[in-house]
Amino acid sequence: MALRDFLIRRLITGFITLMFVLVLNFFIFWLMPGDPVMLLVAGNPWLKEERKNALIHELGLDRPLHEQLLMYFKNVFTMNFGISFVHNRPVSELIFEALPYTLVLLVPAVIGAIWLGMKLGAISAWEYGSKFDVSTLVIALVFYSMPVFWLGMFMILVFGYWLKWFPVAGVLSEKWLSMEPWQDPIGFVLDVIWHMVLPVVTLILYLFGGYYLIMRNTMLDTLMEDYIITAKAKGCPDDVIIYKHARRNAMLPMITIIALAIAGIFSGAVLTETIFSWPGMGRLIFEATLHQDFPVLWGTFTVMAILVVIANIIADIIYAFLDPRIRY
Amino acid sequence: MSNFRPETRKGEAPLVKIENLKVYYFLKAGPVIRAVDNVSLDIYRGEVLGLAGESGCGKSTLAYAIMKIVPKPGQIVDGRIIIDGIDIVKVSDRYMSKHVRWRLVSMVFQGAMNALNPVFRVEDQIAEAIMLHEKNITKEEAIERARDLLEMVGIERSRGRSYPHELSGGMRQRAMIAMALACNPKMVIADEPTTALDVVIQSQVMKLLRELRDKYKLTVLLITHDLSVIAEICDRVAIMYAGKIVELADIKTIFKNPYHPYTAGLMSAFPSIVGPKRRIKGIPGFPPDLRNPPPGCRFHPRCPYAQEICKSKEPEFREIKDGHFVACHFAEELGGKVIEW
Amino acid sequence: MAGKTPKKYRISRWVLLKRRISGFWVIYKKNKLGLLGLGILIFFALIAIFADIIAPYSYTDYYVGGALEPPSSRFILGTDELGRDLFSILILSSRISLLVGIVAALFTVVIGTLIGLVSGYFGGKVDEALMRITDVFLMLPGLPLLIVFAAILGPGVENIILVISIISWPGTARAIRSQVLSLKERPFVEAARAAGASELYILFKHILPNVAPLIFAYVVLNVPSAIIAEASLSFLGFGDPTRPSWGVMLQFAWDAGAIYQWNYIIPPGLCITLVAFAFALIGYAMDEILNPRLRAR
Repeated sequence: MALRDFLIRRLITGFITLMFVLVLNFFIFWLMPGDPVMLLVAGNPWLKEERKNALIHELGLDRPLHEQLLMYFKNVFTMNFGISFVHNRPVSELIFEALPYTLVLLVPAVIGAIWLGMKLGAISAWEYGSKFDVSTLVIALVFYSMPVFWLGMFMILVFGYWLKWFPVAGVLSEKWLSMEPWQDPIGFVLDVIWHMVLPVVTLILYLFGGYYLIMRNTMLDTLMEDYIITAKAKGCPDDVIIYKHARRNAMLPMITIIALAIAGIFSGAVLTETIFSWPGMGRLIFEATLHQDFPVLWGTFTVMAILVVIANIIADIIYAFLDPRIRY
Repeated sequence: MSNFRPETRKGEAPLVKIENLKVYYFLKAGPVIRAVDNVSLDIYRGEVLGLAGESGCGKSTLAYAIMKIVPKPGQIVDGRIIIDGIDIVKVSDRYMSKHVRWRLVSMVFQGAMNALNPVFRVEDQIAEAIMLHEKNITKEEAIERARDLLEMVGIERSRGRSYPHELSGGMRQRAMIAMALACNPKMVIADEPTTALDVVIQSQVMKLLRELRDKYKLTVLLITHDLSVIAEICDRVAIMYAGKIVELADIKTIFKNPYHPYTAGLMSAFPSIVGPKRRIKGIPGFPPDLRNPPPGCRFHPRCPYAQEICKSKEPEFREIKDGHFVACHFAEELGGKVIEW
Repeated sequence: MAGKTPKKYRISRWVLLKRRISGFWVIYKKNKLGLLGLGILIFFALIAIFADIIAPYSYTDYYVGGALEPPSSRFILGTDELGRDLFSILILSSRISLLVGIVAALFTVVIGTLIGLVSGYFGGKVDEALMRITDVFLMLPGLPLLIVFAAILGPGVENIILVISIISWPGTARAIRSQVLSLKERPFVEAARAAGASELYILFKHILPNVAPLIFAYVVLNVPSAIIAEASLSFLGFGDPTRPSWGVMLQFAWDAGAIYQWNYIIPPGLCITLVAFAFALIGYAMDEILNPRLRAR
């Protein structure tokens, strides 16, 4: 079946891309700074000499360069990124702790932004030139122009400080310092959600502008196609034309572009988590820069890059499902 | 050849009556394109009416106007289009979608390359048309009907599951014809059905259209710039120039005895394999800019018989003989003797 | 062609260019949003140019007022944590913010164009290799990569410019390459080759001028993201505290815990947004004009 062949091929090219990304990563962290030993191990104030030597050996820093590359790959696949300078714990542990927090913000935010952008973009394209179109366009451009961290600050100022509707930092309220989740599971979940609102809304507003613009553009192109005229001639009502005939085709270039934009989502995550004191990967990487904690930098960056590659592969596969033309 | 004779239609109400139709495009940059400018035309049940003219003369716009799918920034500015007794110009878009489009009138589009949605299967697209207009039909039944239609136009039933890009150009065109017949329309508009097809496929498609016409007494409005296609299948022909119809008559008259200089010019530019060899003569000059058409008779800059009156007064589209209409000040004088260019 | 065109008939390149620009301007003037964008841009450009004159205080005038004072008649926007006049800092910051944005965008487009030109025109293995590299760069999460580079290279304005360019060139490269691919099949390229022109000559004298509008469009497109990238990096601490930019202002505000002082937080971010918005509007207007599909409507 052509689809299965395509999937296999895509996974292979995805794997190759992943390799390239990791090699680039190697270049950045091993070769650029000049002395990876210093960077990743020696700068650690906590470790004793023997532990440091053991770590050097683990990471393969005592071997010749080409062997270092192999060791590097092995370390990445076993998620061994060394020990954090700041927390004195294995970096992989820190990452596994932080990752769920990041995902719990990013997943709803991305889904929300895509949904909002696509819906508004489709309507805007259909009503091209109307008041709705122009005003939505301007609003989207404004949000697109806002630095996400400032938007976060603004949200905190207005909704957290002035209106006091939402909390301004953290994942949970103070009372949970002395309580366990299972003591009040619903309250726990609600509290988390209450804390999630501002950061997620910030991310959605930050992301949706770009998606809206892309959807609007691709829809405008699609609506010019002949098969849209055919659909109208057949007697399809307007909403069927927009949401069945046009959108399916407009989504295709959109998926490609969103896949490319996935890398940008992490930028938003870094800044938003910092502003809202949200203990995810973004904040982890930021703190690492404050304290020159290179192992953490290396680990988080690598994991983010891998996630981006995976997301791109998934996007391509979705694309293949939707577009019967490219399965060959 | 058909059995259509203009005289037998006297008194019969036409299926489609177009009266003084004006369709203009209002460009954002300012100018207005008068694509269809005061056109009147009757289409009778069971006939194949050809609408011929150069590219850009407004024929497709006229077709789109009948189905009210003229793309923005175009709109119907004036006139009436009466289909089966209802003036559809006045009617709402919803009414058109529900009752007129595809049910009364359907269309086979130019170059079905892009006219079929590339992400849906062919039988699904045909079934969609059926389900849109018939209430109590299940999806399976609709697909079965779609396959029946495909068979009728000469495509294997199993090919229904294919996507448009998996079919050849000729097959796509035939699939489009199948789709156009899905709801048993009273009239089918064929907009350049054979352009972009090679001659072999062309003849297949034409054969199919003739069969359908003979078997089902289909009314067809055939739009094309290719006179050979017109010759093969049409009963009557309307010649369009610069947004206006300049001559309308039965096919024999148009080819053998045209009254309008433009029609004659077209015919002389059309080679014939019978008769003495002669030089093909084109019509000198270029079609006018529809934003700013020439005053008076729009053809006068290129017409060898143009006189003063032609430059200032638009000729009336009138019935010279039984069923033969011409828009020319000198139709009687030229009287069908317009051959020499 | 025998002999050159007589001098009196030759139209110089500059005249042609001027005509094109004025023709373009006539159409551009009609686009209201585009004019708004241009207006905002000119406004900020003037502020940046005359910053020294407009700002009442200098960047190093510490403690001319108390720390973190709210807005007053003396200090329109109040003071920062070191007693400096916020209004002055806001004005003075415009320079770096705009400068870094524009320069970074220019670098980005230069790198991207070169790679796109070479990749698209010469094709084959070169193209494949370059596109693979481009794909890889596109996959890297932007800000984290910026952070990593900045952490390794150290803070500073020049590094920021460098780092932004390294991240952003792939988008431009891809677009230029697409354009080149479609251009190189055109007859005039074949004709030039047949006339004996070398590949480099064709590349720079024939292809490049045709890609120029796209290049210009991409500069406009890249400036807002560069400005925001600079602001983000400065906010995270990679800027130069001695050279004020709006991002640096926000960093100081955040570090001083002044998040609740709207007079400190809102103005710098608002300026960034307005400038980026201005460029976005200009880009949108240009897209409307240059895109053939939209002109017909």
